[in-house]
Amino acid sequence: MARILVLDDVSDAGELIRRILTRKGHDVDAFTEEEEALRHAAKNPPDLAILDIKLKKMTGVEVLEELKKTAPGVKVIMLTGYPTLETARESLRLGASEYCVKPIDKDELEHKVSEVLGA
Amino acid sequence: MFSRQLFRHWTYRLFAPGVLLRERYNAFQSLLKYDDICLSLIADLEEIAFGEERADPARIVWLTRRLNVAVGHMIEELAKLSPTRHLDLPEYLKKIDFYIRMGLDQPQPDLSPPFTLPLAEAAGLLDQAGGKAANLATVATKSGLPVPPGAVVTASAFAYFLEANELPPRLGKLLRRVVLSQPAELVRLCEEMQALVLDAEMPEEIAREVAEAASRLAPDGGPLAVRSSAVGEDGASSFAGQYDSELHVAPADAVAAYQRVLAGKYGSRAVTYRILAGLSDAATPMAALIMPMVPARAAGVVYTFNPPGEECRECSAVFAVPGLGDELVSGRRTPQVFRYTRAPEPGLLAAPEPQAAVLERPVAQGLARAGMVLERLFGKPQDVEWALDARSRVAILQSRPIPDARVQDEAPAQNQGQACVLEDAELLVEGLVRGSWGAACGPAFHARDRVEPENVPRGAVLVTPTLDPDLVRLVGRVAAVVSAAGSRASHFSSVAREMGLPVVVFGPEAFEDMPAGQEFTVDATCGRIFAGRAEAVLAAAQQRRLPPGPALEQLRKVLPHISRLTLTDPQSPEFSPPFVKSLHDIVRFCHEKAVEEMFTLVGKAGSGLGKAKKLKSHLPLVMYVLDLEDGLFPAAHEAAEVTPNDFKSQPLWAFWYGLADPDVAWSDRQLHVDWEEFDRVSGGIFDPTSKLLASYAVVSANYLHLMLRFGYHFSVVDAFCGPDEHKNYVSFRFKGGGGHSEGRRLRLLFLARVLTHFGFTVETRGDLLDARHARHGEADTQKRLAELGYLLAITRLMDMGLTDESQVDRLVQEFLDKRGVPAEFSS
Repeated sequence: MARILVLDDVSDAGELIRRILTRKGHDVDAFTEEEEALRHAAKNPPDLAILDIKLKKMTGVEVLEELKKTAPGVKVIMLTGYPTLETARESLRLGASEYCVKPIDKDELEHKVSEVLGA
Repeated sequence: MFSRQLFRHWTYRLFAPGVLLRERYNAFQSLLKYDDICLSLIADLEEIAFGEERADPARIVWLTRRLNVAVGHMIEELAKLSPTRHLDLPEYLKKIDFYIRMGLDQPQPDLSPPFTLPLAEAAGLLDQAGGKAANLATVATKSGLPVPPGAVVTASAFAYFLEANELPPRLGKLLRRVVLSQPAELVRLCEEMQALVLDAEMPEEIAREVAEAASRLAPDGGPLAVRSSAVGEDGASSFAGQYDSELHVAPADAVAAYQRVLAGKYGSRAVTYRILAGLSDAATPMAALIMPMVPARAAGVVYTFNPPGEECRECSAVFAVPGLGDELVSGRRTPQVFRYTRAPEPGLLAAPEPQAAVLERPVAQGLARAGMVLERLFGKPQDVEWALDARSRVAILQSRPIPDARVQDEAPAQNQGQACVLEDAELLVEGLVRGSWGAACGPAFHARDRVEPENVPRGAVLVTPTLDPDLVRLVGRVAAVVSAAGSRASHFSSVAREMGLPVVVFGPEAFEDMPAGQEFTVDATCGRIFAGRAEAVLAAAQQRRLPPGPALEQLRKVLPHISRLTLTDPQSPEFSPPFVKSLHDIVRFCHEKAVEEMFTLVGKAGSGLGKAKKLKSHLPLVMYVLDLEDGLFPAAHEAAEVTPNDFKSQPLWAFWYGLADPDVAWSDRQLHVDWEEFDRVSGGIFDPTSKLLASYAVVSANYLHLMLRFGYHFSVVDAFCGPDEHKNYVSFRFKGGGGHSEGRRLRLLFLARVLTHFGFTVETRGDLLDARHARHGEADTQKRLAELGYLLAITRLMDMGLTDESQVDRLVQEFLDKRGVPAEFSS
């Protein structure tokens, strides 16, 4: 079981991920606000963060950078409906482990989460 | 093209004035065309990933781009057929395509200065200075050994040069056409790329810095060497001798010489080597090293571990020739050898007679010692190039790791002869210098001068005067190389060891003792040659395949997103866009849904012109027949079911004649067993009762378009058969199954051999077979269709447990015997 933080500006999307991963036995907190998520992570560093790229104020890549400052050990999976190679390269450079493109596929998500946590 | 026109014609007749229906029908035709293109591209990619074809990584990317576009077209055509359904498909295409692009992503070039660096500052900067310069800088700054002064022109200077001349897209267009199986075309493309580089303008900033460095290094105007130092060189892949160096360059010519070194990146042998090593153009930018020439009285290499040809793993050796070292490393000259222990202070084990020696023993000893210093510095056994000036001052010119394969793979046992198996075949010669290892057999082919690869028969044993690095162009084509001169220190020997190609040095008598055309077995592991096939040696030879290299590993990693078929059961609720995992899945989905649409289309049309009719026959085959025009006898026009007796269509009748041949066992019991077997290999998706899984035939009096389903992929027969022989053709496409790849390959081999015997032109790529027989008389075309029908019937029932080619040979022979083919027809 791992502590997982999910950040997606659409609450339904975050909730879907939360349900999928909770069923796999993980402890999942879902957020829609960047600051709230970062504050939570600073207090309770998660094992894994799943970050949507398109957020309300910041980009997911900026959150990734911030998150790595406060919790360098956290593993990160980026999530996006509008994938570009540039953001993918930048995310990987900043320490993201995986990239998940929407629409979310349950098997794919479970597989990538278990791979990233196992690595 | 003819069939498409025909379709259009019928379409108008069938559906006029129903324009909408006609458009949907045309969309179906267009979708089938893209289906063809997609399957063909998937096969091309599989062929590169797992087959024999080696292509530039740029081609891999380009094929995936084309595939993405073609899949997009399929989705568009499907949307015309069913505009309100499957709306989410484009989203899934975008997702899968992104994973493919991300997986094949290449490093982005760094264009930022500095464009030149003093050698001493390049230590460890592998990405900026390239392997050769970065390693030499480490030697210069950390070993205390003498290294000539030098300047590095960086990889970013190269990238900037390309960008400033807008070369990357132009080079990319040529690179994506490079495949090693077409060597003549490869040479032509490389010449074109070299011309692009040579004709480009050197940006002022770079030219100025190179000229300044040249005059700094040769203040008295003495000659310079401009050497390649590519990124990726001297690392996991040695690129030994593949890039050109410019020697004896006047300082005023340094910029031009630098540009020639850059062009050397696109020389045919360097490109061939790079592709064989599985590296992309982008991953191997070219830096260069400018140094004053050492006026050498002797030169050579030091091998600190397991020196080539010395039968002594725990030794080091100094190889020396008089004059410049390029005679040695180019394989044109046999060197003198000084052999030492690997102690920090090496002990002499063997040396040439002092009066004949190129080097004095203390000098050789000093070189051996220097080699061990460098081995300790880099933490790995080293291959060191050196030169000695007139005053016997040593200069280290290069130090690179001995390839891991040589350090790890070659067990001592092989050196000591224990791996040399006893062999009954006639021994021609033994005790030869072994350039690499492994064994292979083939007919001797003499290449006294430079030969073009396409003139060398595949699988030949090449007999050559020297081990020139240019021979890399023949790797993958020849089975083994026997040279009259050279040594294991030759660059080509390094390449052969990396690539697993057997190489031995025979001596000048090679040409006489190995007549062209006669078969020989080269046992490079043990330095022996046998006349004829030495079965025991060949069996014992470790089957070494070319290591895949990074580009192929990348491709294999994304291949599941390209070719893995997971949508196998059209009746499953999971046969829908959210469950597509690969482009192949999307292709399969579009095809299936389009076919489904076509049947409902005709059914709904109900115009009395062409309602699909169920076929009733003794074969356990669910099949529908859609008559476009005169394909069924009038008696069947009003019936809901037809029998083969109703077939008026010439090609359908002929095909059915073969398919329903009484020789073919279709009995229920056998069928049951075979279907179970088929289910095992095809993933269990075949359900004979399913209407959606039915085969169907679209026919007219002279036309047949048949999609025959025996597995989860169609066999497609498209044929015209009438009195005008110019219009007649039989096109046949067969795509593998879900079984293990060897079984699929062998079944295709069987089909290919038999069809070739029947005069078809056959092409196979991956597990896709295309066969065509065109412009023959009516009777002849009918016979071919009948044979094709029979062939499909028996391969449908063929045991899928095919495991080796001898089984295929037997089955082909049996087939040809049974079908009354004259003896001279068979191989």
